Amino acid sequence: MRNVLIDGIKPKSVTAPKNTTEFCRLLVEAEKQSQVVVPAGGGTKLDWGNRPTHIDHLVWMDHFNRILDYEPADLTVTVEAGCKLITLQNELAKHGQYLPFDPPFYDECSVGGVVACNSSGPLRYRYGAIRDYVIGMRMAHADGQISKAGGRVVKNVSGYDLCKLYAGSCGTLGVITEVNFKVLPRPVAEGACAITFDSMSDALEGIQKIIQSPLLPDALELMDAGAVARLNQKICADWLSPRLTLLVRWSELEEAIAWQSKELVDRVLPSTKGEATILDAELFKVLWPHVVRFREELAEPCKQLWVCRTVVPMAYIGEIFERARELEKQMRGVMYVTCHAGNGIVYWYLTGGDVLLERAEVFLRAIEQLRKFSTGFGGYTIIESAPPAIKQRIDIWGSAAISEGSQRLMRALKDNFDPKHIFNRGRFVGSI
Amino acid sequence: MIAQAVIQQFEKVVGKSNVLSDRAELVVYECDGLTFHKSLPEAVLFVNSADEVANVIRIAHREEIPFLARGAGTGLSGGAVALEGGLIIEMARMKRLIKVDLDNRYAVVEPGLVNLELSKAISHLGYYYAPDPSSQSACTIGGNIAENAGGPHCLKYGMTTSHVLALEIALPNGDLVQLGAPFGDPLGYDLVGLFVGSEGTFGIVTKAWLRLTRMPQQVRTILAAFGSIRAAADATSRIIAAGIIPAALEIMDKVTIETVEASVYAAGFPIDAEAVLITEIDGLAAGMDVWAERIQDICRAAGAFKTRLAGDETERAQIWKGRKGAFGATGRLNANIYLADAVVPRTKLPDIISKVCEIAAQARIKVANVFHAGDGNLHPVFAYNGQDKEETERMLGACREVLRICVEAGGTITGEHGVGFEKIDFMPLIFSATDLAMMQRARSAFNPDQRLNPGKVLPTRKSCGEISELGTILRKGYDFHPV
Repeated sequence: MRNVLIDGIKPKSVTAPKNTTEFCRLLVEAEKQSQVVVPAGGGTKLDWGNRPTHIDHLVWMDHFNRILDYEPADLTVTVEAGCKLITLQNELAKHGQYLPFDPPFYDECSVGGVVACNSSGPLRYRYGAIRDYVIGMRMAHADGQISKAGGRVVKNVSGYDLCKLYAGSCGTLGVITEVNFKVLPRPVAEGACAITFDSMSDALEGIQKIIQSPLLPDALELMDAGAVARLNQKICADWLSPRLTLLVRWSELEEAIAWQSKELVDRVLPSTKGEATILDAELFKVLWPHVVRFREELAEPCKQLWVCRTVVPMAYIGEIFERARELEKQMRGVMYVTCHAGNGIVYWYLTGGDVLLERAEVFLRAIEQLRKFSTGFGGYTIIESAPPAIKQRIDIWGSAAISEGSQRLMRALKDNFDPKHIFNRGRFVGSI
Repeated sequence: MIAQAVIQQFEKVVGKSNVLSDRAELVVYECDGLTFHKSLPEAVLFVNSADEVANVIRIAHREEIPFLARGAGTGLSGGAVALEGGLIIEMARMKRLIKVDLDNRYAVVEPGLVNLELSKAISHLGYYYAPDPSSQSACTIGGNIAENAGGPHCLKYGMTTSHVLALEIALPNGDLVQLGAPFGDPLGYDLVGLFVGSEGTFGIVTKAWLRLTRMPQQVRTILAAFGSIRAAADATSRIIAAGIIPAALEIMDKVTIETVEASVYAAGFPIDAEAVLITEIDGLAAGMDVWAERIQDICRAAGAFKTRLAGDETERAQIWKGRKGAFGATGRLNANIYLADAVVPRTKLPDIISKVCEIAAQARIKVANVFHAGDGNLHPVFAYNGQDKEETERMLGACREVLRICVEAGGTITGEHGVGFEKIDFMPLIFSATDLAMMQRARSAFNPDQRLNPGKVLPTRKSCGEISELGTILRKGYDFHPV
């Protein structure tokens, strides 16, 4: 149980309820007095969301950390929300199974936090978002009631699919106390290819060719030269050429991986300007964990790490990379850009010293322009991490990208589930 | 009754010829695929555009007339029945395929488009739409979205909800709203995810952005014959345990095999088998034969006395014609059939199927078992004579019992047909009053006046506290016509 500052705000009380009874008692009291409750799992994404005005209770789910029911033969597992994702993955691995997620903060994040943020990593391309693996949930509500949604079977249309609503609601509708997942058998073998490109347009062409080919990659991770150089640094080698690089990952039978690598080199790439290197098994094993942990490893040495996520149709990815590069110059920091290219999800990481803060205006203006640029085709930019001085001046979500009708529905849902707005008050889209 | 003046307002919106209000014409719309309980709408409107839908709803909202949307009417839980009279908005004419975007792998369609028509229209591009309910040659995308339709291949590819990226919907007040975007992750609450499967009680879909799936490089279909259902079910568990997620895993029992083989759907299933298991795997050609061989080995180890790999596409198509025609074929078993739908954890299947057979035998009702074994979804088909009150009672008793044992085994009351009003009284079997209250909170955000498709999904407060005896629905004689 840790007391932490959230965007510079100190919670008035910090608790870790031992069981649901204790937890619900706290919620009932909090609601009575209209206090603000911030739930916490691994504590890795506490600063996601708009800056809170104040926090009455920071509630850690540390005691909700058990794997309750695991039936390998059914490919289902029930786990308490505070359980670390890595703990769950290790347990599943004993039976040759896994959850195909590799979200940021892989080693520290809790199951509940990952689901609440619908947080995902490179594997999202083939396996979908985390919400697609949630088959049931238990929630603690503002009025202290506990409810369940879904069930423990993999196919279920009994009643409304509230699991979809709760997944990604960032702890604003209630607190997840338990999750039922469907899990998958772990693939027999894994591997990857690194393809370098001279230009972004070449890269986008290459990506389209791969997507339209018979290949079945797990992940299409596009990284700029700086990000690739960081990876080299991390593995203490210069195995990768520090250029714009697409990492293509597969997991299948060994025959299928071998066939795909060959197909990629022999048939898919010759019509593009990419140069492929098939990573040997050793390199893949060493490298890939750093691809997944790119963000947290970046955080270690940096004084400032500002993280944004821009979501656009694939054709606009290049534009986002370019704008990020431009901003890097203006901010006089160092920018790394990575992208789940098959899904149009671009992460940009601005690093540097406190001097970045002096240029806050430039940063805010760039975000505004980017949002203006992308709303035309339904894109959006979220500031995932930035100092309070930045966050208090901007809606980190860019809620204007959401249609007015949708915003009204979201507000109605919030009002119905949490009438006094005790959960993460004001921190979600549209100041929900 | 809807006042004549209001009917005229509707006529102004959709045109006189697109309004039915004559009793004789309305009879077609008194039920959907669940013909058990009938209720006449007061008018049926054929709409041609989102604006027409919105305008019609605005009038209904203002005049406080209940209304609901209907596609092909193939639903099996009574979702498209106008329980309180009012209006049925018929969506079948809004069936355009508006756009195909292969760069981003989605299609934009109108809700009246028939499921299979979408796949047909894009097959030359090497893509298809993955959800494949048995009624896919008739059912519409709008209905699929409302019901979160499944099908044999959702084992690997997921239900409809995994394939809907964004929606334009008409809310019960007539507002047109776009939910979600066809790329990335939702910003804010996942309204699309919440909407899919809301059984026509949250809003009416007027446009949908659907994920397109690349056709697999290779498909292998394996037929295995077993001396018992238990052995076949055991084989499915072993296949899953071996780390294989097939595209489909389907079991049919002896009664079903015999009826299919005697029908136009005859597929060459071995009639000396107590059960057949259809396993389909798809994906990359490389390594596919390794899997196919392994699956046949597993089946033999589990007691299969015969296994056969479909030699070509024709043979494969024939197997699926037999499987998907199974419900239709069982129509010959008796005057009426009732198709049940329930789910259990997949390891519980062998026990549950034995119990289903016992329950049917005890009730002296003939039962044919067809099921999506891979995800534990049972579809026992009960054959009975609806004219015979006493036999109907026995059949209904058996249905109740089947749902009860499925819930007891950790399962649920519907895997793909929906709650509609058919299973509304069963909801308290699996959900507490609090669970149901949370669902009501979600519904109220979309449909605060409950004027859109009233009487579906959630039991009323009164029935909530007590589990009523399967309600009036199952007592009224049952008459199911598969599409």
